[in-house]
Amino acid sequence: MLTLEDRPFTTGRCRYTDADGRSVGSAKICIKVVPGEWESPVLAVLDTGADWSVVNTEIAEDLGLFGIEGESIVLSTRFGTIAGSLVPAPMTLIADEGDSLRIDATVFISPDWPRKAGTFLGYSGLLERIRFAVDPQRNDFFFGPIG
Amino acid sequence: MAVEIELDHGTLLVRSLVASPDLGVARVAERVRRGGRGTTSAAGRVCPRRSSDARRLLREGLEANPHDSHLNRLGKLLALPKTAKIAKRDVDRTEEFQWLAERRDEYRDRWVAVQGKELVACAESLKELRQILRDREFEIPPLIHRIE
Repeated sequence: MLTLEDRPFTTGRCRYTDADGRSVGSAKICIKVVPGEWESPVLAVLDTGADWSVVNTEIAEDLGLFGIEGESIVLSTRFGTIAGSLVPAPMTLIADEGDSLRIDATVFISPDWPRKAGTFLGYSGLLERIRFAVDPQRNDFFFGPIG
Repeated sequence: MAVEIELDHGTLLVRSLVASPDLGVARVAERVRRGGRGTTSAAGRVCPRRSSDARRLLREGLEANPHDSHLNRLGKLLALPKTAKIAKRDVDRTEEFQWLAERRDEYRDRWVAVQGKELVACAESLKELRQILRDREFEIPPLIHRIE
């Protein structure tokens, strides 16, 4: 794992893909996350420029997130301005090596989020609370808790 | 995009800040303290720096109104996410990634479950795919993905 000034900086590592079968030719970092209590991982786009994480609508339905009383907000997205809610959702960054990291995240969900659109890991409510680093030579994503 | 936000109590003022980074923090904080009323316009976009501002305002609001249910719910949603290291581990999915890169054209607009170099299941909806997977046992859970 990575160290900074002789102390652990990250505690887990996973391989990521930059060719996830979505739009061809666009560069992106797709890492594995396990939604809620699932066993299987799914792919989510790391998006440090996104204000909030957005969960794919069908995954949100499966997790029962639409039944949670959330906070209404409007989010500006590449699909236009979309009204939805901020709700709590557990997500696990799953490690190939080292420790995985369960995050009690706050995510944006909306019935208007296109069903074809994927899951994005944004800054507020998720990335702001972890350390992470990318090795684009090896397609490795390193992560760990703060402190 | 400009949005109209009705301001009545501190609760909605905090909500307006969450949705409105252009709203002056000091101005909102003053209104939270005064519990003022009014309307304002602001860009409806969120940025992380403003989330931390919103947390600070929430603390002020909760000190003044500790039993406000809306403020308390906002407090939970805007709290820095808790994290916990867990021993659960996945395997290297390079083969699954390679499968997605090579076979995506055949499965566009479908959910797929892939394990190693093999497609385990595919379906039109996630619900259908999960139902198929429930009837099978896996030593290593397949990677699930919707191909756009």
